[in-house]
Amino acid sequence: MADLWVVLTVIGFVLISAAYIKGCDLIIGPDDATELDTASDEPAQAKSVVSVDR
Amino acid sequence: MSGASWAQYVALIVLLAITAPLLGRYIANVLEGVPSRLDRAFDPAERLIYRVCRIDPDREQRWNIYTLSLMVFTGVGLLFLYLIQRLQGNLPFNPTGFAAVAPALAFNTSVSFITNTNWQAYGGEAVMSHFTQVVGLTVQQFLSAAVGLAVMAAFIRGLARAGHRTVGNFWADLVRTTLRILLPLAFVFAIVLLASGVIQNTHGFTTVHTVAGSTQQIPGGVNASMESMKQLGTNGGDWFNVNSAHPYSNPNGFSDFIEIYAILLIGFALPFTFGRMIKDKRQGYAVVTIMSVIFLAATLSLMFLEVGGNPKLTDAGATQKVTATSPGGNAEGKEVRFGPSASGLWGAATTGTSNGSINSQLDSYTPAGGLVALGDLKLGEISPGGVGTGLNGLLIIVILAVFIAGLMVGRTPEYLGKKIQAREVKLVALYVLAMPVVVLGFTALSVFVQSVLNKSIYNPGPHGFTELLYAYTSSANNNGSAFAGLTANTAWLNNTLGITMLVGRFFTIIPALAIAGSLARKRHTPATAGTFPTHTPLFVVLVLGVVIILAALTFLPVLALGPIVEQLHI
Repeated sequence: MADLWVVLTVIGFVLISAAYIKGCDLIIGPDDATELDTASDEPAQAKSVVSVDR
Repeated sequence: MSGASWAQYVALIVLLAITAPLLGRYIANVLEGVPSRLDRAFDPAERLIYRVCRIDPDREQRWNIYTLSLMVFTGVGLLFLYLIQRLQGNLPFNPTGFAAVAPALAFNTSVSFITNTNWQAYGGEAVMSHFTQVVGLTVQQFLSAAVGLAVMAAFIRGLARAGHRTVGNFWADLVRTTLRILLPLAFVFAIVLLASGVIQNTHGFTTVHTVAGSTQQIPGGVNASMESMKQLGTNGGDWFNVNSAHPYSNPNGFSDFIEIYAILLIGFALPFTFGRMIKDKRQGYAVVTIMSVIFLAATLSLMFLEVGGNPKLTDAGATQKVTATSPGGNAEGKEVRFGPSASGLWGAATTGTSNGSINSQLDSYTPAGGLVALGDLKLGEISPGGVGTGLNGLLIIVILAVFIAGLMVGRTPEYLGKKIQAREVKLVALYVLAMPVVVLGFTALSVFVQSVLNKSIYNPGPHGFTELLYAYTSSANNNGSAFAGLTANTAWLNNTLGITMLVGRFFTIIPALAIAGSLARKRHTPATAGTFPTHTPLFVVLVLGVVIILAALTFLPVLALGPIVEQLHI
């Protein structure tokens, strides 16, 4: 029974963290097209980017 | 302090000054994917891991996906480590035949090691099998440090990039930092420690007959490999209960010196990594100056306080002076082979980082010495801090300092050409508040809990309160050292300290990565005559002031109830 509680606690914490991530995302707001300027100074490794997770 | 103590201190600083910039440059090259001669050695293993785990290292992630990947990885790691402990009685490599670890302790230990805290509410050689220590705990010492480096890499990319939605790929950062930075360093340090006398064997307990005619149980262990990563990754969890005070973990002055060096090396290298990644080395120099000022102040004050000893013992006629045969000072709770100055240096080095290892008992330090160690934690462990997390913490404070400076002169604050706006400051506030909320909240609640008052705290009054406050502060900062004298293996402390570690780790990582995500998409604003430079001595002083004022405003009242009132009683 104690083991089950631990598993539920861990899953619960990950879910709370996911909600916290969502809350922080709301604070910073959606990606604003006016702020994105891909022609600006990109670091070297960004040249290999082929796709983006959203 | 003796001449030997000064020589050790100066040698440590010189060694760090020479090697930290070199390591910092190497780490920057690894994180930026710069081709190197070592690729021939690392590339095949790296490609194999990517193929087996189905990782596309070129597929970059937005900050929220990066953070979610980190959380899922951590959650799975936590459950895996818990499972190992619960099943250790049925698993191999258990020469002492230990049974399963109890659920509350297994939960606490799992959280402790995946958060890089390494708080140990158990004696390793008396509870954990070799399998658990090697496959469970040591592996997490690597992975939790790699997570810290990954978070730092994403944060720096957020500052360096402009007009980007992404901050990197968590899985690629995790693999590269583990494979190319932590594993090679740990291997080299393990060999050095092995040569200095740290044990590395698969024995259980060996019964020996002493010269006095009695018998003694001598423990074995796969310790040198754990010891090297324990220090390099600012983990702190040891194979043995008394940690680096044990002669099998830290047998002599040389091993002590090497271990202190290992504790500080990566932390002091990362500001140089930062300077290179943002392509402005002066910013890195400013950050390392801030770290160094706090480090020098903490180490020197703690060493002098412990060498100075306890005035009440002097009043009672005890000799605490340095002589040819005695290191002098406050000798209680310290190993004779190290003495008070090396113990004080270790105490400040471990509390200035998130390394919870000990070579002496903090509980036996002078109250003012204990206050220095506790103060290091209260400052947020930024001198130089944990692997990755220390630099992140200091950069958050830097953003706060820039914001305050902006308020003072009435301009929109900027850092590295990025405007700091309301959303970043809100996230900074969330970051800064996470640690004090759990520390002060749980400490206050705990003084009403009967098991804490009757079972956990042996020392009544301010000293017992300091032990309790230290436990929550250490856990929230993912340090892991104990003030000692506190029985922590109770249901209340196991569970609440576990929650404290989780909140202290992840409720700071999440807003930090959100700040990175927010800054990454901003364009650089050209510097003007009104831009406040962030690489000057004036800015260094400003940040130091913010660090001290922030900690004092938050914690001075609670410190007055513990170490401060105890020192005044002397």
